[in-house]
Amino acid sequence: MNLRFHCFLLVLSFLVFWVLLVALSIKVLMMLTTVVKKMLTKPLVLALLFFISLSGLFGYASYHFYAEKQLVEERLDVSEANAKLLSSALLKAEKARELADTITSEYVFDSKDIITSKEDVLNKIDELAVVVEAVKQDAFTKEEKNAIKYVPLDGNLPISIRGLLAEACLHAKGDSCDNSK
Amino acid sequence: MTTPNSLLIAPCVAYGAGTTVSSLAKGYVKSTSCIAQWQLLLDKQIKHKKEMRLLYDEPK
Repeated sequence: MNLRFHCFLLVLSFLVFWVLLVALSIKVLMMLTTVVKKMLTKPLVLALLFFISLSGLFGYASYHFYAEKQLVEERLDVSEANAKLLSSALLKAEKARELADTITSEYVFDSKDIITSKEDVLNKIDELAVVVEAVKQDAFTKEEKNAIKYVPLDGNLPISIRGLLAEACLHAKGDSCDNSK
Repeated sequence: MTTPNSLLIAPCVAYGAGTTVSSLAKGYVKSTSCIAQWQLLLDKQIKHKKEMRLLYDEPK
């Protein structure tokens, strides 16, 4: 019984508190309205309208520039990503150019080696031809020279020539280069 | 990545045999040397392609 009475009192005080609060708010509002009505002269209204317009303008400008800022920031992000990609591509292109230069240099160097080897063998053949010619001049008569003018198809190549040809074959890293034996 | 122009050349041509044993031998030497140059060129092109694949992570 005592507990019920206490609950009733609590609810009652709560209701009274809210009723008083609402009444006080209404009173304050009414007072404010009265004060504002008294204050609202023509210049004040004009000033108020001016400030409202100015606020609207600033609000719109803020919204507009904020949107533009967002757009610019987005473009900046894209540009940064593109710049990174371009930078990476540039570095790769530079590396590729260096590789191409290196490989080309290697090719030129190795190619010169092959050409030098070839010239060496060709010179040896020229020297050999001179020696053979000298031997022929001394050893054979004119008829004999004419007789040996044509080499039989199944005749063996001179051993010295065979050696040089095998050397050329070896330089070319060819197959079956051992026929000089 | 394309092959550089410096590796897209014809290094030499085949040589004829001529009419004598000497010219035949010289032709052989020149032609085998020519093969070696072509082989070298091809090796370098293959090497360049491999390096480019590694650089650009291209699929084989």
